Order: sequence, then structure tokens, then C-alpha cells
Amino acid sequence: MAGPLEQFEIKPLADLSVGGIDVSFTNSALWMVIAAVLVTCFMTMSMRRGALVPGRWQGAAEVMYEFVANMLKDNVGSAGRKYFPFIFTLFMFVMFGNLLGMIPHSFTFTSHIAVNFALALVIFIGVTVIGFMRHGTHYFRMFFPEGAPIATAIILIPIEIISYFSRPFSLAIRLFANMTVGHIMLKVIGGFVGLIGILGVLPFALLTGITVLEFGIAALQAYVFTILTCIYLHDAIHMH
Amino acid sequence: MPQFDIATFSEQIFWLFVIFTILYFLMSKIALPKVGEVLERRQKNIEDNLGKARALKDETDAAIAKYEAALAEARDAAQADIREASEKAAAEQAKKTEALVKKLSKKTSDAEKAIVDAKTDAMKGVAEAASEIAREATDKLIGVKVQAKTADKAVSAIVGE
Amino acid sequence: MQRMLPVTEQYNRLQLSPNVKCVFLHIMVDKYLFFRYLSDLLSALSGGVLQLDSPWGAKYVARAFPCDVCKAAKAGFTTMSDDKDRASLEELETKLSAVAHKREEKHSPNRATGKPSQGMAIGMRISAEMIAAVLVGLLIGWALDRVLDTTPWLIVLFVFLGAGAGGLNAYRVAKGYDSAVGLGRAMRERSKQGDED
Repeated sequence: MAGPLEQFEIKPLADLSVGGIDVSFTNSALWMVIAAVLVTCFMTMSMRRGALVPGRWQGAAEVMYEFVANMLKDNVGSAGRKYFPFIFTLFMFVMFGNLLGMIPHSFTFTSHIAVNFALALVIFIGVTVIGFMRHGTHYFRMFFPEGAPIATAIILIPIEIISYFSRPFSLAIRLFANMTVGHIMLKVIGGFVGLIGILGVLPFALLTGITVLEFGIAALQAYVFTILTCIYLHDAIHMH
Repeated sequence: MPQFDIATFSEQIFWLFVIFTILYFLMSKIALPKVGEVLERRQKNIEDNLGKARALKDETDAAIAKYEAALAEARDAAQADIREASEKAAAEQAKKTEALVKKLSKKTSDAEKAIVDAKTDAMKGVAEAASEIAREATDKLIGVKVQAKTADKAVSAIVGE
Repeated sequence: MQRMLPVTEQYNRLQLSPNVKCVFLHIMVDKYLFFRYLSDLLSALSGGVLQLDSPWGAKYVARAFPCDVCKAAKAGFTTMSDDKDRASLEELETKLSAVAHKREEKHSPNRATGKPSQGMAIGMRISAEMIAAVLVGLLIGWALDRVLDTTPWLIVLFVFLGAGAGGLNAYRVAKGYDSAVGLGRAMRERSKQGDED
């Protein structure tokens, strides 16, 4: 029986190196490719006919589109329109990554802190750049609450700065923790089912329940990741 | 935990950027414009159809209102006509009745007059005849020729009472 | 909504008495309520992050739908078959206005978002916020210590500041001031609430 952490192991499929940096094509990259291909197929094949009255697949693609569009509109407003392709790609990529991870013996690239943190960092830097571009140095006011006594600045400003810089970490850690814990739990309980044979009925029921829950969490975490991005974008654009 | 194996970070991040960038361009250049276009087209279609339905509905409402107005007008006109006709008929009737009554009363009075005349004539005739008969009778019976004047006097004295 | 229209169409074409239609109506309302229940449940489970109302809820369970049919059925019931055309016109009117109303509602900006969060998801979020903030504090402290050669004083200080920031972030999440960076917004919100109280 493989350990519950084995499923997270990165296995190189083709060794590759650019400028002395290891960029081997791994199982993680493979599943990213699968996710990207599936997203692309889903969004293009279903819309191929572009029917006025949508079929099942087209309806699904449209629901995804409108879902993300509404999320962006509700949280950022019309100024966020420009960033819609990015937000949409982010949502679909993370969600497909999470959901593909539910396939037995697959690999969940979103359970890796490096991937999540890289995504979160791109978002964080992008949002900060947008903030400074729109508001100039005025954007620094983010770090000191309006109307607070000036004497408290010495303590509040470091706290606000830490709070601001903790955004990419909290984004990455949340997704990583949810995916990792869920998969470990599934693996451990799945192991019980095999180990105790006929008595495995009880863990099996539990396993079924947790699997359903994990599917929900896979979609939910993609949603949370995306909506927090929208909220950060709102802050950068409007500064309240 | 394999997640904290720093040696694998570079390859993961590299492929993440490559694949995510490709996906981003596929989405923003190909997939999303198509969806947006379809949604917009549908939106427009629905709006058009709604507008059309609304216009047709309004048209129908207007037609109904017009029809109802015309109906009411026609009904009013018909009622007026009927009233007028019946009034006219009643007036004619009254006139005719009056004329008839007049005619009848005239006839009655004429007839009465004629009767009275006839009676007078008849009375006159009777007196003349009576005096004639009386004169002839006296002449035949007693051979006395009575003067017509005397006979008339005697007759009228009898008849006149 | 686009999907519902053919159904309403079919429904209206049913050659049934208004009474039978009303029975159908109640079944539909029950389904609708079940859907509401489901969406509320999901919303609670996700800590208010997930709201099925948009667009999954409103789109496929057209709110106005049952009422329209009810009105139409009522109209058909009271005017009887004599004024069938009139009744169908009235029905069209209610449907048209309902659709227009719904579209307006859909296009009006700024629907209220973000109920106060609750449940399991919020626990996960809070823990992530705390860990992240302490981590950032540690990182900044460590970096400053290395640059200023003050090891280990700044790292200690910044761990405490990080814990403070983590607490602040957790407070914001719990209070639903997600979109607020800066205590200022939180304080404003609170004073606003205080004014209302």
C-alpha cells in the first residue's frame, strides 16, 4: 500500500533543462496540459455551432462564461471588464485542475504550493501594478487607515503592510491546504476500506461521502481563489 | 511532503507559466469572443422579439379599443335611429288619429245636419201634403172650396202644436 | 430563462382545466422551494461565498413563472371560455411585463453581495489568513534582520506584528469585510453600524 503522500510526488517524464535550470516535463505539467486542453475543447467545441438556442454543452459553456462574468461585474464593476479573460482562464484552469485531481491515480497540480504561490504571486503583482498605475503614490494610503490617530501609524502601518503582503500567501496556502488535506483523507480512508475487508463497509460509506464533499470543495476552492482575486482587483481599482 | 521539495519548484513554475499563458491566449483570442458574440446575439434577438411582442400587443390593444369604440358608436347611432323612428312613428300616428277624429266628427255633424234638414223638409212636405189632402177632402166631401191659405193655417195649427 | 420559455409555452398549450393547472402549479412551486432550500444549504456550507442565486438559481428557476401561470389560470377561470382571447391577451401582458421586469432587475448593477460568512469554509479561511500573515511577518523580519544585522530582534518583532495582522485579517473575514484592506473600512463600517443602532 502506497503512503498517502505518494500521490503528490512529482515524477519527471522527460528531462529538460534551460540555462542550467531544471524544467523537466513532469506528471504535474502533463496534468496541466490535460486541463488546458480540456478547457479549450470545452469552450470551443461546445460553441462551434454558436446556436441561438443552446444545446447541453453550449449551455454549460455559457453558464461558465456568465458565472465568471457576473462574479467580475458584482465584485469589480464595469472597470474589471478588461481583466475578464484572465479571471476566466484562472477560474477554469484551477477548477479543472482541482476536478481532474479527483480521478483516481491522477495528479492534482493545485495541491502543490509552488504552483499556487506562483499563480497567487502573479495576481498579487498584477493587482499592485494596476493599483499604482491607477492611483500613483496615492495607492500608499492603502496602508494607513483613514481617520486613525497619527500616533498609531507606527504600529498600524507595519500590520497593514504585512496584511497586504499576506494576500498571495493566504491565497496559495488555502488552495494547497484544501487540496492536500482532502486527498490525504481520501487516500487514508480508502486504505482502510482495503485493509479491513468486509468491515470496510463503514469506511466505504464515509469514503463516498467525503468524495462527494471533495468534489464540492474542488469547485468551491476554485471559486474562492477567483473571487478573492476579483476582490483584490476591486481594491486596486476603486481603493474604496 | 513532496510539496516542499524545492528541487521540483522550477519545473512546476516553468510549465505553469507556459501552459497558463497559452491557455490565456486561447481563451482571450478564440473561445471567449465567440461566447460573448453568441450571448450578445441572443440578447439582441430576445430584445427584438420582446419589442416585437410588445408592439404587436399594443397594436392589438389599439385595434380592440378602436373596435370597441366603433361598436359603441354604432350602438349609439342605432339607438338614436330607433328612437327617432319611433318618435316619428308616434307623431304620425297621433296626427293620423287626430285627422281621423276630425273627419269623423265632421261626418257626424254633417250627417246630423242632413238628418235635421231631411226632417224639416219632410215636415214641410207633410204639412203641404196634409193641407192639399184636407182641401181636396173638403171639396169632395162637402163641396166647399177651401182657400189654400186657410187649409195651410189649419194644418200648421195641428202639426205645429 | 431561455430554457423556461418553451416549457411555459407547452404548459399553456395544455388542454386542461384551470384546476388541474393549479395542481401542476403547486408541484412547480414545491420544486422551486426545494431548489431554494438546496441553494441556501450550499450557501451556508460554503460560508456564504457560494450563492446559487446568480446565475444558476434565477436563470433556471424563473421566479415570475409560477405567478404568471397562476394569474393566467385565474384569468381563464374567471372570464370563462367566452373571453378566451381576452384572457390570453391578459396573460401575454403579465408575461411581457414580468419578463421586462426581470430583465431590468438582471441588468441593474450592484446586487448586494457577500452575506456575513459562516460555517466550515470560514474556519478554513481564517486559518489560512493567520498562517499567511505570520509567515509574511517571519519573512520580512528575517530579511530585515539579515540586511540590518540585528538578528534576532526584528524577526521576533515581526512575528508579533504578523500575528496581529493575521488576527486583523481573520476579524475581517469573520465580519465579512472581505473587500476591505485597511482597518479604516472596518472601522467605518462599524461606526456606520453604530449610527444605525
